[in-house]
Amino acid sequence: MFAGALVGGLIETFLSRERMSALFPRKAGAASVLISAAAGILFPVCECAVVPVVRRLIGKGMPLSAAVAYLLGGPIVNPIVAASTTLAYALDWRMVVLRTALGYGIAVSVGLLMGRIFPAKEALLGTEQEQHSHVCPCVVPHDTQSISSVFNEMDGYCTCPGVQETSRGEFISKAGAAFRHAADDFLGIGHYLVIGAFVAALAQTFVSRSVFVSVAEAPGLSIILLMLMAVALNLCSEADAFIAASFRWLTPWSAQLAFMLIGPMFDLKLLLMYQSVFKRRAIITLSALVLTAVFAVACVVELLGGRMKP
Amino acid sequence: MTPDDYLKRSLPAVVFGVWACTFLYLTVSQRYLAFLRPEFGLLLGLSFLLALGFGISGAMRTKEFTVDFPFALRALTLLTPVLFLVLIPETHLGNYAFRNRYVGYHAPADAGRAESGSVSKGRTAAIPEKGGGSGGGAAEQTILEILQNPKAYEGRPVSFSGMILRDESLKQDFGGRDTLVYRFLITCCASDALPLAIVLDSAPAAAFQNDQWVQVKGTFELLEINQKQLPFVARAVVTPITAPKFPYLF
Repeated sequence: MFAGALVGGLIETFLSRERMSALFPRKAGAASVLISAAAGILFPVCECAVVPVVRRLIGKGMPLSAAVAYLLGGPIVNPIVAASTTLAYALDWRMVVLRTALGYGIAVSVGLLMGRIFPAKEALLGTEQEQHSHVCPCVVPHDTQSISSVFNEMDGYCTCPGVQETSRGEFISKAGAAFRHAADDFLGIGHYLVIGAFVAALAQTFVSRSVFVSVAEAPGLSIILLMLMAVALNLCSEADAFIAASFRWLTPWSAQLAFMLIGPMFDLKLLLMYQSVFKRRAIITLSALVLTAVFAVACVVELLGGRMKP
Repeated sequence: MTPDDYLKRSLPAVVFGVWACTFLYLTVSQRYLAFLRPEFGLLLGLSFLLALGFGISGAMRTKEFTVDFPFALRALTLLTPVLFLVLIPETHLGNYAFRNRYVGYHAPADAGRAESGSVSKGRTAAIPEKGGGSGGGAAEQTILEILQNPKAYEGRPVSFSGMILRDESLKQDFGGRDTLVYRFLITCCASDALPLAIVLDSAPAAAFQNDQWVQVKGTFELLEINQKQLPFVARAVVTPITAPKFPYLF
């Protein structure tokens, strides 16, 4: 979370809107979504760290569909998660390929659907200007007019007197601003992570895993139960494959796959953290789309692959 | 500057300062080993530097922060885990977590793992000869090493350490036996801990309380219970030991 906040701060300070527009042109549509969903290959982050990063990318003008695609795909389509899944499943490449490919597909599909359902203004908590006023290191709530006078559009950092008083060189100023943005992000989102971790600890303490196992033989039910379990446990995407693998003698692959797809996209802590990015209606829609997509994909895997077991 | 202004200026710096001190304490005292794998000490060190940087940037603000009730509540929430670490300093997973997480015996997937610390990474303990007695001269293995390759250890003397669990409720799954020795295998942290266990006859462990660390020496067997294999140590000799530096297996 600290690292994710710092990456977000660096994006805010060092990445200009022009560069962001060049990377993710609004007119590119599906192409930018396809690229974003796979961006985790180059910027591998877990689901906790991706939220502050996406928050900043949206603030820089990243299209909603591309942002959602990276938010959902980044914690699955990345080399660290692929490596941990490979290790957990004893080098069985089938699960790694399925997890990565289906995670990518769901991220692209849900990203495109969110972009089609919602205009950015209706889905996101603030417009670009509003977000800037929230996070500007000088803590002056700029309106649109004053932003144009103090915000360095080329370099993407605030040049108002509040910042200049504390900085000497441009780089030091930018680095300081990046840390201030990062600190703001942590203070703005970190409490969701703490609350989510607390809820997960309650679930770990009071819910026995044998409850899930006792009804896991029925494929449809086992998919739902393992999805519920992933939502409740709030595991990191870089470690969840080891838990899923511990169920491989008790549940079908489709249920294990559902466990590993839903956790990085939607769990209790993410549900709380999404409140720092999206409006309520968008969160409900996003959650419904992700849950439906993962369940549908797992059911298709179950139907096509039967009760695959290693 | 009034106390209220001072608070508004310093609260973010205080939050990050407390976290920086906590990371430093956990790293230097190695308290983090109670819930993280040893290699992650490096990440805690990095987190210390980042928290320090965030705190300094907060302290150097030229404009005061808007500290309202929701902000104060968020700050308190962020400090809650620190409070937990201070109030409950020596907590690690025990038999309660075992009961909640155990879903039966299956060979762990990752054959390249080994106990961190006394056993180097990737090492597989030498498999002892058959008929070597009740573990008298057996080399030390970990529960993980035995369960990764149970067929190879079948009928051979083994020696391993773990925590004792005795519970009547185990009898239904373990063929009437109510005693086992267990440890947790972790990938990143305690939240992903998986319990590993080997069953014993109850008599040799009768003198011990639950969660007492013990060393077990005996002959490893795989029993068939309800068409499932159950790792078991026959003719076990159980001796108490102090808790190891690394309570988990990695």
